Amino acid sequence: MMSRGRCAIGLWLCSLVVMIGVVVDTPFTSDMSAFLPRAPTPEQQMLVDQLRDGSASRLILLGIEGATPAARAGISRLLAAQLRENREFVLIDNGEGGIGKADQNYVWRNRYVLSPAVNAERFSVAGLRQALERDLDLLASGMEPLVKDSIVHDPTGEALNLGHSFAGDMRREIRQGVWTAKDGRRALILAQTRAPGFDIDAQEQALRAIRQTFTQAQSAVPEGARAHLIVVGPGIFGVKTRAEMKHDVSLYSTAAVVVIVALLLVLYRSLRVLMLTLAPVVTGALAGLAAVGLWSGFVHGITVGFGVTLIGESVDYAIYLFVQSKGQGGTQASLARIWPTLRLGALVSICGFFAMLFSSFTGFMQLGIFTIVGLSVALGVTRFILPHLMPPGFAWTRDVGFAPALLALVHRAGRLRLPLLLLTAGALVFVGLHSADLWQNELASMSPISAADQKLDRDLRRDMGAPDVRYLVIASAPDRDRLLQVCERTSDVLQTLISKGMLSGYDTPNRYLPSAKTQLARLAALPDRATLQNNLAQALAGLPFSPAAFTPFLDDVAAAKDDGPLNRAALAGTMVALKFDSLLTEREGRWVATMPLRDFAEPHPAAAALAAASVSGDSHVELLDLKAESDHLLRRYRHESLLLASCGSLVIAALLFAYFRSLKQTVVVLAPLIVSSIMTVAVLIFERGQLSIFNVFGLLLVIAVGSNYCLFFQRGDLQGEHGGRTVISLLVANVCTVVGFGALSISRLPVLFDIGRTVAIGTALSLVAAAILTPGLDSVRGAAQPERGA
Amino acid sequence: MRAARNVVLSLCVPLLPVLCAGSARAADDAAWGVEPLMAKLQQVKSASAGFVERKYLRLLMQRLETSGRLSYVAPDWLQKVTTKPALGTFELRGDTVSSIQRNGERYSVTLGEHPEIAALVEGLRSTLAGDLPTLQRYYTIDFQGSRANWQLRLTPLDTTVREKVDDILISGAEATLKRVEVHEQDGDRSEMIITPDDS
Repeated sequence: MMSRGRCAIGLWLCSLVVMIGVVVDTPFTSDMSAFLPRAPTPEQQMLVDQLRDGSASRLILLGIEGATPAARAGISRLLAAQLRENREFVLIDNGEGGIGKADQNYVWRNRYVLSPAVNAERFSVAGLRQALERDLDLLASGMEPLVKDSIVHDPTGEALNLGHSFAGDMRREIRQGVWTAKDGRRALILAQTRAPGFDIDAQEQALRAIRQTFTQAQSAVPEGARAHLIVVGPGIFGVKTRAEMKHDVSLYSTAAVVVIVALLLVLYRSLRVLMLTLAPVVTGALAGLAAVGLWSGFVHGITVGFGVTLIGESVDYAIYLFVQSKGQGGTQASLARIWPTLRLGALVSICGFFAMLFSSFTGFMQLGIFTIVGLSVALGVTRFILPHLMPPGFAWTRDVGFAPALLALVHRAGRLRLPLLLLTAGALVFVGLHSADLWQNELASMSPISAADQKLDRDLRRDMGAPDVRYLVIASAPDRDRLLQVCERTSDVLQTLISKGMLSGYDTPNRYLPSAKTQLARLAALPDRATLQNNLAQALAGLPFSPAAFTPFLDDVAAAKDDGPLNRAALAGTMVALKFDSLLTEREGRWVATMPLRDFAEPHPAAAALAAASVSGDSHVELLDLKAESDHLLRRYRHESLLLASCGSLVIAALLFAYFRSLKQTVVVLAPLIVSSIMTVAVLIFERGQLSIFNVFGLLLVIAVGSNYCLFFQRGDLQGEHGGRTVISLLVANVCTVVGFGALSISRLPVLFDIGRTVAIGTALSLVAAAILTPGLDSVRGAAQPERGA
Repeated sequence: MRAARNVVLSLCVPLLPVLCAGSARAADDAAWGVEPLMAKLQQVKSASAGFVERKYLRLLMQRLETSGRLSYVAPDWLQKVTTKPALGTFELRGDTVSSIQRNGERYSVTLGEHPEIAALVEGLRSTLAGDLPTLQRYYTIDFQGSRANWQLRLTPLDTTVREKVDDILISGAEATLKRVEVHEQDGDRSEMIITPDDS
């Protein structure tokens, strides 16, 4: 017996070491996309890709507020200059410099292949005449200096128009030489990181660089100290969320552990027993983490956060074991008595959590694995290790003064059965009245970003005129040039939508580098030198221009025809290249273009028009509504979580029925859980108006944990000293759970708040409901009388 | 685009007299000079005037003549509406220059896109606002003549600006400006005759 004990302890210690090794080696992430589905539709895959590493995910929006306009502008210039040197950033735009020199040269040199206006008609006598008359108007106007030097090279104004479309058609407010919000209160800088938005480490580094550089710039500018910096963007929010998650989880779970430990210490008055109480939890948590690490290769921060789940449930095991130990037989006898109930309770929990394994959220799947492995191991440690570590003949002899009173309360609780059922019926009606608007319908409701940050983000985006990232056209084709052709066809469709007023603008890669076919068509439309010279001479007749002035134009057109079409290499060293690359990506041998739309009004007719553009077999064009997709996704999550929770509950019911082989006993155990779930939902709706998916998972935890209470009550046998010990152990176990999860609900992060609150409220209600509803307790009250008399 | 600084010159400089027209009653015979002129300019919050502009460009075999109206509202809005030979609008608002041609085409240039111009514009804008210290950062100011017939010669201090513009001559009487000339490095020049509304 003793050697078997040593064996078990040795095995336990060895596995502890191995598990610590595995856990230390496992990377921890806080990538929120772990809470996006694993096997989504192609549209949802695009959404997920956009959220993870689309160009929008790489944007950082900076605003400089406070101090004087001059100080803000000074800081903006210094900050931008410094950050442009930093390799973390591919783009820093503070309104200075506009379109850069390299880009100006690219546009100027290649204007005849880039300009969509180039066609044969434009270089005919009539076309040139029209262009020259317009030039004369420009010369007469205040714009004269703008065109005076370029007119002899480019009388048709291709470079001027291209400069316009390249710089983007948004109207920027430039004050003191830098980009400024329309109301003048903020200087604005748009940054794009090299790293994707989900790479939180890289984003954190970028954020640190921005903050450091800002501080330096502040001290270099008079009055700079009074300025402050606002930084928003998907990656930045990722950084903030991770930091907040780390902070909240570690702070609140530490607080919970401290309270629980203090409570247990008061209860046991023994450090050794306290340590032993924590042994199943710690071993279970380690095993859970190691299992998740081995299974998915990484552990999500949220999974770790719910390590408290285990404190909530597996601390209970040791509590039941120790508190119910008494004189004769000590721990062994106590174990023999409670083991069937403990085993059944754990099995019920495991069945409940088993449903989570089928979740499409990687995060919840991880939580399922973590909990199942953790609970099994904790139960194993309680059963096979703890008895060997206990002081021989351990008996928990402390007299809890209020135990008899508590027991008496439990015995009398049955009187509240009718009021409780009425209250539950009321709660059910209340929930029913809210059923039309029961669910939070936007993915944003799951967002860990605070309302204040979301508002700042909206404000800065509005100030910057950043495209609303709601509508995108996604085009794909087998190779880049064919994709550019698809984009060109799509652009034609979008152009007609603009002329119909259904769209105010869009961006497309073929604007920066047209397909070879289009370039060749434009070059073919340019007349040969002799023809052009002839056309020009006729067009100039009667106009005041010096006839010889336009020789540079003839030279440039001839040179363009000689140079032929451009390829991607021509973009080297320009900012245009960054833009082009951000709009085009190669994914698994297929080229995909993203075309963001601005102020898109009527998606339905537009979608039809766009579908018509996608005619050829190997290319594909699609309108993507990111908001609709994300709302779909949320609905999918919700259906799935409800389905999983229902399946979990059914499996638990089936398990109980299989164990008891009695419908009545099964109902006895389940009824308090059903009542407490209904009441919990009513309380949550009363407090917050709506439910989230996290609440559903919280309810699953309530059923898993609460079923243990019900099982102990169902066993009956609650009399005298022993009955007192049982109710005390249940109360302590529940207080520990409420403290653990209640602490998490202090957090502002929806996932922590929602689950923490649901479980804290739900388990407390489960205990009360079990005491009130379990029928055996009534008869026990009758049985208790003669005992007292004896 | 590269010559946008001249846009600003040709727009802003003609408006100097508009301002002066609004504050033309310099009563006492105290010493007339650049400081009293600037002091008067500071008081102008809005003004409007008619103009005739003639341009002499190498590119053209004959001069270009336009006429229309000028408006200014402190601190930074300037507008030039051409009515002959064709309707056109030209505007400086904040740091953005924009124009609408007779065929409806719109052009827009941000001064921030041309850092060397931005410096120049700030100089001109501070003239309109009567801000002498700022003006002196951008130009050598040469003031001569009498109260009844004075001339302001602005010579750019910045070398890149000087590559384009030799100088700007503004002449007037009392606080009324009558004529603005811009002389460019390449020999092109323009002159604008101003007729304030309230003279």
